[in-house]
Amino acid sequence: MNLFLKRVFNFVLIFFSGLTGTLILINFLTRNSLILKLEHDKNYVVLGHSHSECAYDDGFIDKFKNVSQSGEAYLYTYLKAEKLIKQNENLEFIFLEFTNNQIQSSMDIWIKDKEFIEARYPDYSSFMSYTEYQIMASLNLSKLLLEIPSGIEQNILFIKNRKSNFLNNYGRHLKLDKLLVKQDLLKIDSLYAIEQSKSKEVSKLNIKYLKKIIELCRNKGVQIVLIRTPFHPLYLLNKNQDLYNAFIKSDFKDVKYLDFSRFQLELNELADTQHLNKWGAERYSKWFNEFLKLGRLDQPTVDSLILIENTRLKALDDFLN
Amino acid sequence: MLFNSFDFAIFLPIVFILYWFVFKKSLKLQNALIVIASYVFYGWWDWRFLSLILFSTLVDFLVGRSLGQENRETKRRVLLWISIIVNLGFLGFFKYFNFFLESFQDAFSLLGMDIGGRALSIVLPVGISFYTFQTLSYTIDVYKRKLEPTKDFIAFAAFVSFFPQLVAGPIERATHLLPQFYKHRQFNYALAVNGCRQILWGFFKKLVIADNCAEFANQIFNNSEAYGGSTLFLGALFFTFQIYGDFSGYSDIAIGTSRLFGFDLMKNFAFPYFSRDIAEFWRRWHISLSTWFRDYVYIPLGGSRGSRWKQIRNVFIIFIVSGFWHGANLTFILWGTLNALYFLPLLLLNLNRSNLEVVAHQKILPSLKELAQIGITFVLTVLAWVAFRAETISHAGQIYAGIFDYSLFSIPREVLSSKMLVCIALVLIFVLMEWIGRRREFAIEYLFDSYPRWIRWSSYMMIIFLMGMFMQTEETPFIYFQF
Repeated sequence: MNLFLKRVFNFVLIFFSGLTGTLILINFLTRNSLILKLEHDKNYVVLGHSHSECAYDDGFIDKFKNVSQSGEAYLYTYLKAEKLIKQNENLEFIFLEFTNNQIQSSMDIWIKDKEFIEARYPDYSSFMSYTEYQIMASLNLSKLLLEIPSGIEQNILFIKNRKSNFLNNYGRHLKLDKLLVKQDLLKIDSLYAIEQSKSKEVSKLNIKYLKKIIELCRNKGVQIVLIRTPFHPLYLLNKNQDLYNAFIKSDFKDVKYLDFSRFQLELNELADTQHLNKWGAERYSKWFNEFLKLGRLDQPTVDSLILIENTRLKALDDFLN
Repeated sequence: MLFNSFDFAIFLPIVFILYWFVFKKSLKLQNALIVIASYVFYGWWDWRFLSLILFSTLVDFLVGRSLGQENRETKRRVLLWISIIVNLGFLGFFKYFNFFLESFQDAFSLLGMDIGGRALSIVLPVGISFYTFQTLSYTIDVYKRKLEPTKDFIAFAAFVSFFPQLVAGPIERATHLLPQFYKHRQFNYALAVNGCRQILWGFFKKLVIADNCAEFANQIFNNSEAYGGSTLFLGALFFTFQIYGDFSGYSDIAIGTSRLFGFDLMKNFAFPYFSRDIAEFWRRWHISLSTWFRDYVYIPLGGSRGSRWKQIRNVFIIFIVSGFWHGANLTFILWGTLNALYFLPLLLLNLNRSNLEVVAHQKILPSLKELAQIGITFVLTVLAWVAFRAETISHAGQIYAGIFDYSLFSIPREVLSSKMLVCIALVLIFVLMEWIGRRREFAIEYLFDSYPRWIRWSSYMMIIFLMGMFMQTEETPFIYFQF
């Protein structure tokens, strides 16, 4: 019996040592070979989840690249930002989406849930440090272990194609064709119920990584601007606006913050209450481009430009009606 | 609890340590631990159905005791029927109630009569067909005086609920397994190592072969109207390997796990896809069920004795009942009937026992004749699996019509993908491994046995690594759980 247990123990030990060694070696090779390079004329990037992914059509914005990705928690954004800053000396500004749902505890699901680990871990495994592995292991060890081979497989692919630029794997503008129809807005009761059911607690992990991103940018001399992308007013229904304001005024009072949420959108410019469709993204991105050209990244400028745009839109509507 | 779950990965070492370290000195306590562990294992899925197992155990234990004390034949027969009615009653209710109700409704509606009745929403208890047959074997053997009735309730409960084989077999005979619970068990290093290898191979079959083939089999069977003959045949091929990998994989894990606890379970699969005729296939496929039906149904019916008509009748009964055992669906009956039809020529020509030895016994490769025999038997089996996998008879008919079409000779471009080619390559490697190990209990039983340990261990690690690379991330239940 003792011999059996000893050999089983040795086998498991050798196996896991081998696996860890392989993981470390492949992660090391990937880390040194994976290219996430911006074009030379791009100095601005926007990072965040689906809100910014759908809103910023970088085809209409000069010097700008959208590297946002749906369902991305700040943990992954941090790893991506670290890589982008390291590989792109021309990067001057990071616009980082910071909206109401990113402080909710449900954000932890974006790190620990099966489908999110499946979607993110293989691409990010080589960026992750011991700390991130520890966090993920504490949240969902079994899923993490199951995904390790996929991570190795993906990294082998990266190493094999080490001359290619994989930036688009890590985020790009998503064009949505969908239209928000009035019937969607009539589902107000169900939207309300969904929001009610969500925990009002804060995701400490997401906030922690948001702070890490800010610190990283400051240390590396890259300017960071927190932004809130436009959405339909119903998005704020029963949302945590007070809590959100409190964060802006306390934890992030030293960080530049621009709120574009009052940018008025027509129903046919929205895919749903929180995402712009491609028509909305086009108008907003063109407007955003003009805003950037002014070179005054402050809230009064944002507000006055939004006011002008909203007035223009209203006049256009009145004319058409 | 699924074998391919983290729950089981934690459960097994705990039970193992308790079994060999804490309760090592007491046989009674070891058996009691097996009962508790088995009930936890089963209850993990749905604890309510533990009452069914417990009730079956109690009934058969008491019937067995009474049979042991009773000499009057009439009363013994009554006792046997009590056990049969209780066990098959549960099985019939949970598994076949709705099927018979709907069949009667359909039959009467053809005559223009509405007999009413409403289908019940019944949850089929996992593994009910397996443990019911296992416990029935005890009563029947006691009735036939092949086995002394047990006085040890805990040992009997452990025999009925033994967790490695509780939910999907092998369906053990009381004469083989029950006595093992009476004997003091010593840890056997060679047996345990062999068990670990068999578990590893079982997981490989399930996670790499079955689950990957399932993806393509499901894709093709679920959209069968859209595909031509070659794609449908490819789908049937994928299902052929899915069901083999799934079920024989489960059996390997069950047998291997039992070995860790010092038990020897019967072999359930013996490389059936290398069979040279259907009779050989049925001696190698789901052996525990085939022999159960042979011993408790076929032989009592007269077996291969008597007139030709009686022999043919018995063959059809055994195959159709075997098909019906799998589920309340006419597709299973069609599957059984097809196999009976395949078997019939062999019976009529007295060729049903012509291939008893393993194929190419002393050789590396089969002869051309053997290869042709294997090929024909394999294709017949693949075609029969279509009926097994189809949702309904008309679905099966539609697939058969699609297969027997000129499009069978086209290249199945519509589904070919690099992922599918990888899966096909894995299946080919698997078939090669099985061929090399076909004289063994399982393919990797003596893999690199004469080589140094580091080579053996490297090969096991390679298998684990392949599992990690190609396994699906979902925990997929075993197909035979539904039976």
